[in-house]
Amino acid sequence: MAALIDYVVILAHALSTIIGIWVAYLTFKIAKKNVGVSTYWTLFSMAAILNVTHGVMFLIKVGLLFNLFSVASLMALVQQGMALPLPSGMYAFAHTIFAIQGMLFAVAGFMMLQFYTKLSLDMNAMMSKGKK
Amino acid sequence: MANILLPDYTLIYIVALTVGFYFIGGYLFFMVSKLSLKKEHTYIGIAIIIMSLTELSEIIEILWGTGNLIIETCIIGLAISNVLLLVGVKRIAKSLT
Repeated sequence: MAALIDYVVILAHALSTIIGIWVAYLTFKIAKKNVGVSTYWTLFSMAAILNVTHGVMFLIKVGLLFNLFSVASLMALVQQGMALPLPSGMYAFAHTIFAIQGMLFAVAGFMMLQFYTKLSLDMNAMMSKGKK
Repeated sequence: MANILLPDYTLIYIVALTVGFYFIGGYLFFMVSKLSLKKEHTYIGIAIIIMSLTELSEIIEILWGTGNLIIETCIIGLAISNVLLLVGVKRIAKSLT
């Protein structure tokens, strides 16, 4: 059971990394095309690219960084039930990056909110002008 | 006197900061979805709120050491939140481009 959970956790880390890169690519693409809200999208894509941290954690956890071409040692680690804890410094570093990611999401959300508030206020003003 | 192992408070502060930022981000995206009347922003908001819950579980783990199961479950939650993020961004990309 524990080994199964470990496999799922490895897969989840890998999935997070791949999707993070995908989201970042998509948002960069949107930022390029939408001039009005491009800053927001750039911040958002920066936050998304920080998901790569999961990939780094995943790589360290699996031990690939230490034994890059040794499939046998990799399999041995997996069979041991991933008993390879992350160094605490690395753990704190990863969480600092997550904090930065959270900040970028918050700033992007704030900018988007500002944009839509302005848009709705403008629309309201136009509507009231039209009524008059 | 028995050796009492104190939790790493610096790490707790960092994780708490992360929870706060994620939560604010998620809340703002919910507000944006209300204003923009677009479902896509709700997806992003939910994704970021799930991320904040994941980080909250890290604090629980550091403080009370409930075993790795919570963290492992939350890493799966993180993957789900990333999928939600992708769905939201993909829909926005489709509608904008």
